[in-house]
Amino acid sequence: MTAYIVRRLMLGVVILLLVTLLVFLAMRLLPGDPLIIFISQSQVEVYSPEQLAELRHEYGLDKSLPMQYISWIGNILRGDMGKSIVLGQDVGYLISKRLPVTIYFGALSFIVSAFLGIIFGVICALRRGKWIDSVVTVLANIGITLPAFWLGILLMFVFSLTLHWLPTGGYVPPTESLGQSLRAAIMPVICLSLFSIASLTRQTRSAMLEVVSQDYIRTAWSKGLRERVIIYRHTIKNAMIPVITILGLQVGLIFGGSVLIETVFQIPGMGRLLANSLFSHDYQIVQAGTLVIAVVVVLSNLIVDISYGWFDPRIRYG
Amino acid sequence: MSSLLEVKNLKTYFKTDRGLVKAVDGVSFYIDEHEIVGLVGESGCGKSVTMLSTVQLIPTPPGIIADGKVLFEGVDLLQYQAKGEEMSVIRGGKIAMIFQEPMTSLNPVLTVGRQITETLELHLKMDSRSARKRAAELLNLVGIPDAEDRLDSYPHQSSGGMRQRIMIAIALSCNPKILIADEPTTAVDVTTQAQLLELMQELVNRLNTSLVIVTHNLGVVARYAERIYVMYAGRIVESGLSDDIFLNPLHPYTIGLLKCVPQLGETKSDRKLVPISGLPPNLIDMPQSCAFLPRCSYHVEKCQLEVWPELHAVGKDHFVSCYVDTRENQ
Amino acid sequence: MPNNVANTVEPAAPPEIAPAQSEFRRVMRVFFGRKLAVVGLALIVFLIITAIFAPWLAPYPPNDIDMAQTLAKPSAEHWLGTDNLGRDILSRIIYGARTSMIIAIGATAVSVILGEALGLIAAHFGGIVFQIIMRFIDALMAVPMLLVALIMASLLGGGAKNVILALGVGMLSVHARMMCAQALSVKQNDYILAARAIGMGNLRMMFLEIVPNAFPALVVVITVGLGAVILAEAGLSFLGVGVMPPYPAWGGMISEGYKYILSNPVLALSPGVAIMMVVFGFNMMGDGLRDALDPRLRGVI
Repeated sequence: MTAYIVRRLMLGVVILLLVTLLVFLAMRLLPGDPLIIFISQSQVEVYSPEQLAELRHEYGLDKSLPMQYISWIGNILRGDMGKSIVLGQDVGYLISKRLPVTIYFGALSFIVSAFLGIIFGVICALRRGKWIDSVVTVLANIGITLPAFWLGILLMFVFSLTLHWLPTGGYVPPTESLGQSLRAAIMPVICLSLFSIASLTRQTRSAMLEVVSQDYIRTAWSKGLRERVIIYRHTIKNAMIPVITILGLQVGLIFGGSVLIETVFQIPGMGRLLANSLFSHDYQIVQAGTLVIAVVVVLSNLIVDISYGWFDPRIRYG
Repeated sequence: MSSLLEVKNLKTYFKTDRGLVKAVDGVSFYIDEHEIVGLVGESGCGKSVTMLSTVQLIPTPPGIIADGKVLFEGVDLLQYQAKGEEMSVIRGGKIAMIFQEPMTSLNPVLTVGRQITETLELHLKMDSRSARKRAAELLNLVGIPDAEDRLDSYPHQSSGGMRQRIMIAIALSCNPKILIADEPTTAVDVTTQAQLLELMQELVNRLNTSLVIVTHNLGVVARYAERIYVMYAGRIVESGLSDDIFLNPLHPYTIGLLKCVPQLGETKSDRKLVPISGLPPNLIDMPQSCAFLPRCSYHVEKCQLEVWPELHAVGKDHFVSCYVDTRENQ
Repeated sequence: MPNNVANTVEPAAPPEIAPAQSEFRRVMRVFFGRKLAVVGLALIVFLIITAIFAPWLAPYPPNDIDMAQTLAKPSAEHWLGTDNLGRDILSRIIYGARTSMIIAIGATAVSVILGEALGLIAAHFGGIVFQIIMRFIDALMAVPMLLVALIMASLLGGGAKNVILALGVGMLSVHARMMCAQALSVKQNDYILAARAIGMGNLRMMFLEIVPNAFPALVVVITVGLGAVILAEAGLSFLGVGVMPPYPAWGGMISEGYKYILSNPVLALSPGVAIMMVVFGFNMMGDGLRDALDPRLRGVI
């Protein structure tokens, strides 16, 4: 098992390196000289050639492409993510202010999705064909069709602008005021988690039904075990094996969704930072930001893979 | 003396979108204490469904036990709820089953030990320590070495034959009165087959348990069963002592079965193996007349005109469901 | 009595083989037996018809500006009202169906072609080629799909062509993985060894053996993927990297409407309903197809 974890870790590192390479190359394919963009946005009217050369050197743009990549990687490993050309601030600093916000909303959404999605799925499977199964399944089928950002606008329209029950968004740190923080978080979390709840409900239901039709469940009945024991001890643990994969996928989806939701609700998180940086061609932020997100995704996939071992002894003992 | 298990006129049907499948259509039989009984028939004849029905393990959305009584120690089990307390006591405690597929019949995420101790804790009210000790004893009983280690292992770490032994251990753990073995040897190789059958015979003798072997394999029942029921298309067509059935088969189906079985000592020139012509019947829209008629070489006009014959006695304890006295033609 | 294992009572007649034609019929029967799948199919047919016959169905040209009637509420004249430039919302939604269909089909085609090709190549050549391709796919999957599409679309600039490419790249991982797994499992089959022994060419083998086996799963993934692409495209349009204005795109309409939410909420909300209907249609079709094509149900009643 330890060998398995180590192998997956090493694989993760390789993948992250590839991510950096891909993003770096992608950003360099940008048409236009980033320095020109910076100049066009800055206050100073005219730059002399010497000043330009100095700026170019300051941002490392005078080195060859491979050298730029290597020095960027080298800096990252030392904790230095570079300086944003457009905003003039340290990238690491910017990210450190934004990332926790996204993680706050993301983690809330993930927990809510996992909890509700799995529970709904189990209930539907156990009450298969009854009205609650039909209702929840229909809702889940609708849930995976909702554009999250559109739902955000709808909720905002109803609950903020019309009913004035909730604030229109923004971010209140939980340390400042937990009540306010949660109030502001309700709508964004609903939008971020809805798809995952619906998806997990469907997958859990399907996995439970699949397990229930297996031979070993018939064996359990033939031993005289009661229904409750069969469900909790025999069925659910088996059903969780495929569900864990789906759960792991939600991490990436929630991050992707946060780009849109943070825009709708004016939340100062990573998603909005990345979106804005893309439009302003601030490639330092995009590179570093994408890498950070990839790290989180790879780590969560690793956790999923490890938890497979806990759920499925066939993985643990090969 | 009344039997341990007496099934009267059992009917189990399945609703499918192509029609009503009459898997078991009026089956009656009995099992006494300390005996080994064989239930024989081809795939789809309803033998498994019959035994599953006695303990209400038929999935009831498509399936339904339409009629009949299952009297165990005098009490009709069919009056109980399938998922209720009473059936839970019977299953595993009084009537135990083992199934055909050892590779998929054990739960992959629970240890072997857990799957044994949970019945011990449930039916015999043992605490976990004594249950574990008893589980190790049971594994020894079925011939599995290193019982202690095996208890903490998972099913996928054991071979097919070993898993079947584990199933036998689980089934016999609470000293049931009846062990139903549903095609116990079909999915294992020949050598393991022989070992498992010997093991089962030895154990049921030792524990005074009755054994019902459900199989399509005549060779299995020939050696071990004392009485045999032959099933076809959802009904019993012949029943009797094992010797009577093999030496003096009366139903055309039974005769056909034995004709396509080679015998030790026979050479090519002694006898041709004759398969039974035709296909197994479609259990939807069955005609009222004898279901074996299309494949029967003994039939007379009466067979087409009358309904499926009732079982009638032809000698002591030998019953057959046929209008023709096949002894004349042999 | 002989203790012979081989005595079974199977009949002597040869088993019936299900002909391909009745297999197709069975698939159709299961599919149409499910109400939701039929509803989904109906919605998609409705979408296709709307997209093709947009000029005839839309009451107004989608880009007709009428500054006298900006942000009008729904009325008999304009069933869904008008947007901030006086354009009829209903007509724009109808024409938006075209945009969505084109992009959905285009992006799916790109992801299928690129993804399946990568998967086949990786599985067929194995070794280092396999490793490189698979790690590349892993890296692609480590970045959320929307972000990949967003980055690519921003880089390339907006516009339908680039959006198609961006979304196609974002979705190709699924196809690459699936095709690779299929191809690997077929590769190990004995009949491949037999085919090789006869000297059957590699490419021919790939297409004759692998593709038919992969087909059912592929159909399901494509159908559900179409829904996902439409959602993603809406997201990109919302962020401003979708099709270029003035072409109507549902996501872009929501983005515009966002600013005028208090004046005329219909502008922001109605395209969402359209998106939901279409995605629902694709998902239900996908579910129905998955059940109908489930190989375990083959030959069963």
